[in-house]
Amino acid sequence: MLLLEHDAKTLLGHYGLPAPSGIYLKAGQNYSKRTLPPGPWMVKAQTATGGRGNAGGIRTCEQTETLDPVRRDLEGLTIGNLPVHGCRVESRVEFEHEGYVSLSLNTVTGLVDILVSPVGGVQIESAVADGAPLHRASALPERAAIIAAGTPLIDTLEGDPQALHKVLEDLAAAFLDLEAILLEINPLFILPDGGCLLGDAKLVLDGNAFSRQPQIESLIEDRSVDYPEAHLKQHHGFDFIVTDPNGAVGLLTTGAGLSMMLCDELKTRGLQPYNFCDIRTGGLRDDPQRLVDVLNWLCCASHTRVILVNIFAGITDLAVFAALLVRALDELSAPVLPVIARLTGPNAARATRILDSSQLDITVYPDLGPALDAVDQLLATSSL
Amino acid sequence: MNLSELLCADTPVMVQGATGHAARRHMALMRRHGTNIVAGVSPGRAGEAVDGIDIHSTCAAARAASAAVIAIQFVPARQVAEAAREALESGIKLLVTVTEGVPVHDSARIMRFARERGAIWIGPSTPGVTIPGVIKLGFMPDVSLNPGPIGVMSKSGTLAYEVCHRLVRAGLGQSTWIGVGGDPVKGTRFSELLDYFGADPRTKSVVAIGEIGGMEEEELAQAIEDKRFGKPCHCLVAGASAPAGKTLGHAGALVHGHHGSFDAKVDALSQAGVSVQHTVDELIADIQTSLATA
Repeated sequence: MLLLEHDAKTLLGHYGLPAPSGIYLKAGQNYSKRTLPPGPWMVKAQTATGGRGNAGGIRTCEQTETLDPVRRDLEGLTIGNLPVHGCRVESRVEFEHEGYVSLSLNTVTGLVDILVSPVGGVQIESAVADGAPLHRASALPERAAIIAAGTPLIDTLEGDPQALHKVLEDLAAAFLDLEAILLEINPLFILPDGGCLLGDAKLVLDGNAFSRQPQIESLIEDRSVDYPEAHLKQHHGFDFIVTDPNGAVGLLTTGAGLSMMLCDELKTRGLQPYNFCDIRTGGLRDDPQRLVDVLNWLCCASHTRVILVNIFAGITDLAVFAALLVRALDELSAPVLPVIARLTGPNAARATRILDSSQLDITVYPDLGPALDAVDQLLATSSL
Repeated sequence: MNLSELLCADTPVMVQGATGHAARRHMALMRRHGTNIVAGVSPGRAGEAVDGIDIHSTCAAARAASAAVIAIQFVPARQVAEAAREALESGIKLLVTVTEGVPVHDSARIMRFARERGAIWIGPSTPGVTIPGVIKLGFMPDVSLNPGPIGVMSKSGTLAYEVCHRLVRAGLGQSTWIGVGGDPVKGTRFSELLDYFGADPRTKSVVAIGEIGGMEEEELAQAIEDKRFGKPCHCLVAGASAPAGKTLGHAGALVHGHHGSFDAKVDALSQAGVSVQHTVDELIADIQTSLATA
């Protein structure tokens, strides 16, 4: 999970890594002038995506009078399909140089890759392609090893060696402690006195490790608007992601890869899936609540007109699943949309009988192709 | 021992976490498929038995009693790393981890340790490994299994269920099916399986079932070119319509910019001569055509 810049800087601050003074203001949030850091400011749209600068998401602001208009401009933006829910207002810094430092977990070697360049604040790949130096080293994911391998690299930056060494030490501690996959500082501001500040921070964390990272769990808990998918998973134990708010086909599906492919195949047919869903049927445990939640979300969405259930069960008893689905549909608070279900796996015939005899608007297919045809046909018919 | 020496009907297998509910169920299914399960491991449960299989408290004890060389793990995500270390230290040569949600730094540690020990690690978050009719290490559904000429490697379990089910419905089947898992750090990657499938006389063509995120498909493309891999390769990449910056279920299925994107993967695979298809139906038809003209 990619953190917002503000959250990354706040977390890294706990490890002794200083950033320019800044506060996070949610969209439309009032503030008192005394809570602002010293101006003039950089006002930075907070979205968990790259390319904010190119998308017009970073602006300068000289006076308090212009701060709200600038915020309103940024809060109206959508960057990389993500709406801006807030801005970081940060003191503008006069720096001497910009550098680049990153630590990342190499998925092939299992080691930590360390990259350092005296060219910061730019697309590092293209800068290196154009001849900018990029120093690389690898180390075991241990603090001493990262410091030993990274020190000769960080020494290539112009700045106070003591301050630079401290940056490396603190980055190593944060990377390991937070179980990061990527920690990238670009740019690293190097100040006229040789000191360092984090200009921007990109921190990608491992969702599989959140259960042993209480500070991250608490951040997600507090910020459901900024991390909606992680918040949902933390509360419900499965993945549900709205991929197109205007989508017509609501998906209640299991399996990440198959759900992704189903979204692709729907789009190939010219249909609009509303969501990605990996409900994990193994986690239902005879309780329909997960199904009730998903069906309510799908039925309440503005443009959904049909629900497609796709379960290819390895060992899940589909008769048990079908009985839970009937219970869940009975419990819905929202008006129920037509349901087209594809069920393959243990006890599929009995599951079909349960759904067929339920008096609910459900049509069951044993294969995905005919189920997709039925979705196609239903949408075509209902739009006439 | 290499993978082809290990994936045999008589290779002795131990099950870690064998007294758990899921493990008991899958032990029975794996044994019904012919897998030679000889021991179970559950700390503190030595002396018990599950369906006639003796349970031991440690992997070392299980190894001493049974000479198992394969271990399959049915243990909770937070315990996988320690259990893996114990299995590998006991001398296990092939470790299969089906558990989902293993922290990535733990996986990196297991991966390095397995390499140091000269062992093969498959997983985590994999439905397993199987040669249909010979051995099954995991929980691939029987309805998707049939002996045949197609070597299958997959990141996603469920998408591979679907593809293999349709292969079976088309009268085809699998020479070996290896789920590598959808996590970013894993024991065995697509490109590392080319030598196995290249040398395997049962495999006439290879299918890679990939998805967005990471660089595994690009590495596979590079390895196909570097090794001048001679068998036909087909590929399906899920996630063409996925929004950037969102992790879609699998921890590895995250795209930042061009890195790990659908287009980058399709470009790399196509340049390496891999036939990339966009729907499951197209993939099956493509495999059938390729086999018919071979």
